[in-house]
Amino acid sequence: MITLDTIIGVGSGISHALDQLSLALFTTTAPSGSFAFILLAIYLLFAKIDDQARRRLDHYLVIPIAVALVGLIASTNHLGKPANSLYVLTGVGRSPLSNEVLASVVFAGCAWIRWLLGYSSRPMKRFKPLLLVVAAFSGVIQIWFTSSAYSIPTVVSWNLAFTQVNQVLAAAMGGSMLAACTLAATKDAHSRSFEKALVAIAAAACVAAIVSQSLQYIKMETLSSGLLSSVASIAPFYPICIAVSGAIAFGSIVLCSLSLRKNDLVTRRSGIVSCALMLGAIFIIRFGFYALYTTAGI
Amino acid sequence: MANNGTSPLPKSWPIPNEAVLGYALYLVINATSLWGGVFPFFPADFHTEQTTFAFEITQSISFLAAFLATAIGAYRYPQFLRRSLIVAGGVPLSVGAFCLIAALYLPVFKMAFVVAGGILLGVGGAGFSFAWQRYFAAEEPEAGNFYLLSGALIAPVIFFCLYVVPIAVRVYLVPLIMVPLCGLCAVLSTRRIDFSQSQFEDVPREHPRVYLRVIQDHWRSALAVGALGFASGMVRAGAISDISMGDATNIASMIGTGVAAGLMLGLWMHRTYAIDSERVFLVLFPIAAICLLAFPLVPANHLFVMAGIVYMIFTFAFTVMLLQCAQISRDRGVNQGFVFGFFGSIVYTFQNVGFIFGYASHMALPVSVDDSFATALAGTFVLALALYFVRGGARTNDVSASVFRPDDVEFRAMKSAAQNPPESRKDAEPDETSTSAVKPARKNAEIQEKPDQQSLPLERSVEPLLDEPSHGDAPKARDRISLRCKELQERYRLTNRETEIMEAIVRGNSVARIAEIFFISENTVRTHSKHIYRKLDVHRRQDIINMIDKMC
Repeated sequence: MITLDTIIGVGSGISHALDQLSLALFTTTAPSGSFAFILLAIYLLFAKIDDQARRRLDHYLVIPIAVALVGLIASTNHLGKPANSLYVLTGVGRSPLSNEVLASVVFAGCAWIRWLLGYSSRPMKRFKPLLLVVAAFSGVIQIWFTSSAYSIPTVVSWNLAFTQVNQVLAAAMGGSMLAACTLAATKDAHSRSFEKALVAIAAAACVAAIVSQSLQYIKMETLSSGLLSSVASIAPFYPICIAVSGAIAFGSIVLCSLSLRKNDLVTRRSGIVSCALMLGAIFIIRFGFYALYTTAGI
Repeated sequence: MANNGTSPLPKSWPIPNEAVLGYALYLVINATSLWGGVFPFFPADFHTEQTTFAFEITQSISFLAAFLATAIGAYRYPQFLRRSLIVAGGVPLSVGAFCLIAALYLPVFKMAFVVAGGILLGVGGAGFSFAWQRYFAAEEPEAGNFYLLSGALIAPVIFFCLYVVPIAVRVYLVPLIMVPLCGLCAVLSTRRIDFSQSQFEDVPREHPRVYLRVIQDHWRSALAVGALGFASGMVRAGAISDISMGDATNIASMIGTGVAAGLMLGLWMHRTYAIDSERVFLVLFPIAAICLLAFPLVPANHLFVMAGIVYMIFTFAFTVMLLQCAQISRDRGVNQGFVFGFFGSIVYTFQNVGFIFGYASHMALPVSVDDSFATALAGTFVLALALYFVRGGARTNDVSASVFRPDDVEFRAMKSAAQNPPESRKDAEPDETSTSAVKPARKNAEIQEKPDQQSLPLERSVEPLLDEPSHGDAPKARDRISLRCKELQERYRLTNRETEIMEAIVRGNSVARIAEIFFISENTVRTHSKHIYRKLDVHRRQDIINMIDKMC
């Protein structure tokens, strides 16, 4: 039954989600970019690739880095003015937001420097792999801090284990497709097993994410706040978001799989389209997540 | 780049290559780093009149000093410029930007950081400027011009995209992302430079007359752009007290760059044309003069429009100047650091003088007197002075008969006619080192090749070979050889200089003689010859002569 409370709740939810579009973009792209970088770093460190293909992949690492940077830049929209950019870091250690920003900046910085060094004419046979490991590790930290930034005790709808799990799974979904897209962009014939593994990771993460998001919504139906008897009523469209997001994500995976099956590798076009679809799917669910914002007082 | 009649567009077109992208980034960095361009991105309370003036004067003086030092250094120590230009540009640019950011957070040391930032940004901006100019000058003419113009065309797009970036991080983007990326593109482009070209191998102190000739032939061009720079400097002074003027000039400079590049590229797609700074100045002079004269008449809140137009005109002329500098380096085998440094020193001297004059008149004039009158008067005066020199000044030295036009009032020197009656003229000595098959023409050419004794502009010194060309136009042919050389030029996309040298080769001149005629080094002649042989797909001068003979 639609009550006044429901209308006010839904309006509040959508309004909050719209206000946080930049953060929705950040939490879509930054963790996906980091995850993709980690996967590609593993590939570069352990797979047998010829020098030319390795060099070209080194250059194309700019793709996941750029995706992560777009999100990081978008997230600063709510800072307001340049002076606030550094002041946001003064809370490192005690503020989840500061930790999240610092981790993102450190990852972006390490990955950026590593990418620039990929163009050096000097081989740097020890330093480049070392920096790659450091950048990948900082990517792991970035995903951890980004996903745990929303475990805020006063926000009852977010202070659930599902929040962090969903974020990590979204990173896995987006990162796998982004990694596949990056490999496709190089136009080199990369390891078919690795590309299959990327698709498998995306598929597994997608299934797990749908389950986790559904469980989260069921849990929220049992939670209440100061004004709402059921916290879930603030975003009754969340199940639709789960369904639409899941469908688009699966479409992305199917497209990628078909390309792999037909051409023995992911083509550039299917890589781009799959990646765009997957990131779009993640954005939809992130939008729904921000619409769920409910403090103990509301 | 392909030749032999095929399109000059690179294979990756329309996707920009690293040279195009890197140069576009450099122009955006320039717009945001120099002349306080980044100031709009800082809070309003940051850019006080004192801060803005301190930054702009230190940055502009250090920029000019870097140009002067490079011009002198390129002449005395040319090999030095081959190293570390990109690092010399990139590091100060990044550190300078961080100095400005530090000024934001440490207000106690604000002025010190602003001054340090200004100096570093000036030096860094100049370093990157030279690095890119070196690259474009080293490329084939069509490739170099295409990449430069394409970069200038997409720079405004990148600049305006910056306004989409949240203001909180806009100031950080320049030193952290754009400068390293620009530096990377510069490194990758520099790797493609052929440093065995004469413009890099040349030792200027061994050919001082070549460099002196460059100054003699092109100081008017530099003066023309400098006059527009003076006007732009005064406009910049107005921006100290009026932020909207600063915004307008930044935006106008980007638009001017894009418009200049777009127009030239668009014309190039469909037409063959030649351009130089003097000609562009003659076209732009009326517009600039009208804008300056309109300053006192325009309401104060609309002054930024006039300021923007003046700056746009300057940027347009400056873009043409860059192309011309590269062409001079190629054609004459002259160190491009010297050429660009020479031009830039004059232009930026004028710009700085204009800036200081504009600021001084703002401070010195009584409040009741509108300083836009001073801007209008001084700016128009300098433009008019430049116009006077560009049009030839008041030269009364003798000129050859062929430059008289039908309605000119002629004064033929009575003294030279008495001392050199026609029957006493001697034949020139034959050139013993030439092996041309075109013997009758060779002897005739030998007589006519003797360079004019009174230092006329370069075009006139080869007047016996070719008819008097107008500014930058292809020389007009006088005989069968010239006509066929022109046909080859059209067919194989030779530049004007290459055509002139090819004709000199066909007429049987030795390398030494050609170098003497064109006031270039022998190494430069050999470089041009290599290009000619490659474009014509021949291996010897006799092959060119045979090609000419076979043409009907």
